[in-house]
Parts: sequence; C-alpha cells; structure tokens
Amino acid sequence: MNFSCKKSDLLHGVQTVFNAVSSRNTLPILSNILFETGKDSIKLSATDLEVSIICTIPAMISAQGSITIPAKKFSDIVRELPDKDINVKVTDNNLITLNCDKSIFKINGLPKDEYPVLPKTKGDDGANFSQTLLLDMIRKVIFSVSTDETRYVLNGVLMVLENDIMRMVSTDGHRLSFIEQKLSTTTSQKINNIIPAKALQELIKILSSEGELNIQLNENQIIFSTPDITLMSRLIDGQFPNYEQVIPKKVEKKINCSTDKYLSATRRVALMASDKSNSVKYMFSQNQMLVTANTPEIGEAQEEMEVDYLGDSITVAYNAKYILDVMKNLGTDEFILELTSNLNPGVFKPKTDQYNYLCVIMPMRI
Amino acid sequence: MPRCIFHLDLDVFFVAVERVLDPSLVGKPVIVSPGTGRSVVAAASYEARRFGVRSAMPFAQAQRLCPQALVCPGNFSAYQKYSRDFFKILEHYSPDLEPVSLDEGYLDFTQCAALFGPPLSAAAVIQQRVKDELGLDVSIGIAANKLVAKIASDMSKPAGILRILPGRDAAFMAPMPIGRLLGVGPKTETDMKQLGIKTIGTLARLSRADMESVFGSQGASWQNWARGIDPSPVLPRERAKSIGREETFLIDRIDRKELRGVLQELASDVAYRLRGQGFKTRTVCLKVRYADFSLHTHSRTLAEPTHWDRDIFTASQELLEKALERRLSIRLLGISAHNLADERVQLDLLDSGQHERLDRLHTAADRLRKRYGYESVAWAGLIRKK
Repeated sequence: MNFSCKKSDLLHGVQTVFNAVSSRNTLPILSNILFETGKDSIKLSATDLEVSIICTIPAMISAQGSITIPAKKFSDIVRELPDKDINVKVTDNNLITLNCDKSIFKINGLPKDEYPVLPKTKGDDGANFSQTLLLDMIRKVIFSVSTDETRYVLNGVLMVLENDIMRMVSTDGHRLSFIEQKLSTTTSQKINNIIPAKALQELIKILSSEGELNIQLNENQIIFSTPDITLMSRLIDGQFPNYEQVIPKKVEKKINCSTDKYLSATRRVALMASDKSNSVKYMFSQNQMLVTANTPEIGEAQEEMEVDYLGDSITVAYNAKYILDVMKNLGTDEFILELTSNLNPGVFKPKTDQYNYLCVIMPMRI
Repeated sequence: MPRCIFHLDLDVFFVAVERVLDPSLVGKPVIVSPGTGRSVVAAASYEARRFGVRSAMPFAQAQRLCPQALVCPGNFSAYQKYSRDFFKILEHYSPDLEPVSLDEGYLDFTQCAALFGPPLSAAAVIQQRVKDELGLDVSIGIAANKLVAKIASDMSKPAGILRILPGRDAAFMAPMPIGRLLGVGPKTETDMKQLGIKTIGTLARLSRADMESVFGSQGASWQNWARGIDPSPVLPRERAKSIGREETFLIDRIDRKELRGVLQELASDVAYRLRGQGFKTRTVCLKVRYADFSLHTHSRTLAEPTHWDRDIFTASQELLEKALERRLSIRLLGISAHNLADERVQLDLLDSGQHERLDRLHTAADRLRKRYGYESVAWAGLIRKK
C-alpha cells in the first residue's frame, strides 16, 4: 500500500472518524483506524462496535492495499506535520512510513484481517433529507435523552419516518420533547426506531449547512450518508414509551411569555435554588408571573415578570435546568405555556414555528 | 450583658427510665446492656459504678466486676419518648435550645429572666417539673457560656444545681485537672503534664502564642477555654447529614443469603427513618468490618433520590457483592444514607401509578409502625421463625 494526499485532507479524514474509535481496550484493534485504497481515494473507517464512521478522502494511489493504524498516535502526528503533501507507505511487516517534507515517521500497524467487518449500504435505497433540517430537528430533541443506563430505551431518540412525515421524540422520564415536520416529498422508506444519543451527537458534528443526507436501515443498523462520510449505528432494541399518552390533550390554562425574559429570570432566580433539587417556583396570576427559589440556610430570590394570561392563579415548580434547556431550544421570541394543574405536566410550545414542536416537563411537588 | 446558659443533664438516664418503668430496680445495681456475647454496657447505675462498671465497657467484664447487677436489655423507644418529653418541658423556658444527646442539652436563658425570674429559682422549677412529670433527676449547671455550664452541671451531680457567677469562670476552673477540657485526651494530657501544665489554672496563665506554637490552633482554643472564654452560641440541632444503622454479629458471617437478610433489615430501617424525617437519599453507603477488624466502605450514588426500602436494599446489595470479593467473613454490616435531599420531588412523566402505589404502601406501613411499634410490619422475606 502506498498513497499520497494533502495534509488537510488526511487530517479531515482522521478527525472525522476519530470519535468512533473505541476508548475501551477490550479489543485492541478497535483503537486503530482502518485505511483502504480506492480508485483515487482512501477510505478511513473507525468503530467501537456501536457507532462506526467511514470517511473517504481524495488521494493518489501508487499501490493498492489496506492497513490499520493506531488512531491516537497517527492523528497526533498528522496534526503536527507541515501543510504539505504526505506520502504513506506500508511495508511487508505492517510498518507504516510517513514522509512529509523533511520529516519521516515510522509507526507499527496491524493487518486488516483482524478488523471487524462493517455493515454495507444498499446502493440507492433509503430516503434523502436536507442536512440543515435534520440537524435542527436533532438539536431540538437530543437534550432530553436519558443518561440513566438502567432505562436503556430512553438512551436514544425515537425517529419515525412515515410517508411525508418525519418525527423525533426523546424523554428521560421527567421531560419529553417532540418534533414533527412535513416533508416536501413522500418516501417509501419507513423508520420507527430508537437511535442511540451517542450516534446522533456524532452525526451533529458531521452535518453541515448544505447538501443532502441519505438515511437507510440495514437489519439492526441505521446508516446516515453524505457524499463523503457514512455513519452507522446499532439501533436500541426495545419499546419506546407511549409518548402520545404523556402529552396532555386537554389544556385549561394558556400563558404567553417572552422566551428571553423567561430564560433570564429563571437563570437568575435559580442561583438561589438548592443544588440538590434545583427547584424554581412559578406563580402565575393575572398578566403577571412571580419566580421564586430558596435554599434553607442559604437564602432566597424572587423576580416579577409580565406575561399574557387572564386565568385563575396557579403555582408550579420545575427543575430550573429543564426550563433552561427548553428555552434555549425553542427558537422563537415568544412561547405558550399550557398548564392543567401543579401536578400535571406543563407543555411549552413556540408561538409560531415551521415545525410542530413541543416540550413537556413534569413539575416538582411543591 | 453576660449571657446566662443552662446545661441540663439527666442523671443516669437509661437506668432512671428503667426505674420509672420498674420501681423494684430502685437502690439496686443496674446495668443496661443487650447482655449478649459481644455487647457493651450502655449505662450503669451509681450502685453498679461503685464496683467499677463503666459505660462502653464490654458486658462480660462488667458482669465479672458486679455479678449481682440486674441487667436490663434496653428499651430505646421508651428512652426516646422520655427524652422528647424532657425537651418539651425545656422548650417552655427558652426558644434557644440545643439538644446534645437524648439526655442533655443547653438552654440560653439570657433573655428569659424577665418571664421566669432569676436563673437559680427558674432552674429549681425546671428540676422539680422534670421530677414530678417524668420521675427523672436532672442536674443543672448555670454559667455565662456553654463550656463552664457543662462543667458546672457535671460537678452538681446528682440532682444538683450549680451556678458560676459571671466573672468567676476562670477561678472556678483553675484548680481542675487539664483533662477536664474538651479535646484534651490522655495523650495530650501526658504531653501537657511533661510541660508542667497540670491544672487549667496553669494553662490559663500561659501566653496564647506559646500554646499555639506547641499545640497549634487547638492550643489557642484551649487557652481561651482555660480562662473560661467560650463564645459558641446555643444553636438548635443541625439537620441530619446522614442516617444509618449497623449491626455487629454474634458470629462472623460469610453466607451471602444470611448477609442479604441482614441487609434487607438494615435497609428497611434506614428507609423508615428517612421517611420519618422527610428526607430522601442520593448516596447509599455500605460499611463492612471484616473478621480481621479491617473496615471498608463502599458507596453508590443513585440516579434518583429515594426513601424506599427496595431501592436502598438493591443498591446495598450491589455493594455487598463488592464487599464479598474480599473472601473474608464479616463481623459488622452497616448501611447509611448520605447526600440527603428534601422530599420535594420531581414527578415522573412515564410512571403509570406505580410510584403512587409504593408511596401508599409505605405510608400505610409507617402508620402501623407508629401505632403498634416498628416490628408490627415487615417484608415477608424478613419474617424469621422464632
């Protein structure tokens, strides 16, 4: 194997796949990146057996072949090399020689045969989406994924694709976010699966503000591909909770608020919320809201704010972190808060939005 | 204006309660102790102390010293009840009350003379009320600070009242051995004696700087105390930081099934007390003393704060597995709940009533226990053949 490429291309490739390199040492070869030659390109692959990333970069191939190279060492070397062409040559005993300008590095690799076989994409199948749309939708739901490993079905986002509707839902048991968008075209690809949050976090790093993304399913894998990058992930096996049942239908009180003001009032008052519960109380009365928090033996805070509301008074307490997460993701100047009682979930909806988007937060007992 | 602090200490509290419950014990040597193989003496009457029996002494030794002593196994729920009633009486005389343990506490009387008369007569009234209403003797020390008040109540025992007038503190303490000062243990006492410091009076005459250079910052506090200076306020008891229970076994154990049974019992008790005090715990800690006396602790932080038997048991069971990796039999097992949070809870979105059912179950069990005693309700797995 022998190829030459630009430093910037090689660095881009290594950095793209690097996040999929396993941090665990159970299988030593997983800390390597697999390099395979194409016609006039190099394919870099990395996997931790859950998420795999493949990136193709342009290169001049002098001799076909493949090798796996220790990821950390290799990426450190490439980053430090001068901005010139790099030549990579592999000799019989898996010894890799890097030549760049006046530097020469020799590094020991491992042969490809021990590297796991990654799932393959099926030609032109799947559905295509705008990368910006998908990026925006994922960002609006990923914050409410559960990190509690004992509730593994909640460790991912439920993605549903049906005809011309794309839907994503996530919940950690205390809050839930739901987003739905009507697509411009109808697809035959159907999806109704839970995708691990880790895969989506990596996908966010790959997605850009232009171009399309192809999504397809292959047995228990979901595959996202852009022209030069493919991300594959194992799906979470299990039944996602019945989210429709959790979203309140009948709503008694609707309150119009300014997103910015609500966010900053909460952020300020939460400074006096107790570290453990992080609970902030909201008292709504005629066109007014009072935000309060206190910690015994430390102190308390309160702030008044105008809201658009004419119903009966109601007081609810929420974990301030949950409120801040929602406010940061609403994406509109104003939002509507829908309440039933102080023991029922509150629904936060953007006032006007291109999406059908809402966040549900379960209150804290007062 | 100098402060006026009372230190109130019930005399031989456990024994006194036993005697109220069973007057035939009056005048006889009495030892309160579970009386089993490795147990220690929880309390001894003055009659038993005459034979050399002391609190915290191994029971076997106490029995050798005073074989004729009557042994009470200890009735902690009765002690708690009497203690509560005692503090209820004290609450009447000042809002500033600091319980130190079941049988002693400080009371700040500074502002209360206008209501209850001069300190000495008020103390006499309190002493009489405690005797009339509870049948217990209390000794009371009165001084301008907590330190001197405590020493005064000690000296007034049994059933006495001793008041040290403000300004007389240093003179009162001067002839006492330095071992009377809080924090001066046998080791420090020897060190001080080697330096020629035998009495509190000698210590008081030394310069602060000298004491600090030899004994560090603690030396400076001792020097203050020796002169009868103690500015610490009377504070209501702080909220609990942790709640725990442990058990020392009669015979060292290694059987997983047996240990789990003990664990379930401990977990239920800790959970019961958490609920009783309106707390939830985030961190469960398992304490293990092995047969070789080495002490290990393992802890686990939970995803959600809890006060339910099952959750605490599950967490401690995982910790027990870790503890058993050391293949050594176990002498003592304890569970404690740390990182306590208020009960104010985050409600669950996906819960389909299970939470509420558990809540109802535990509330009902707790009500039964309050009425008929802790033993009246138990998990089926804990019921042993008697």
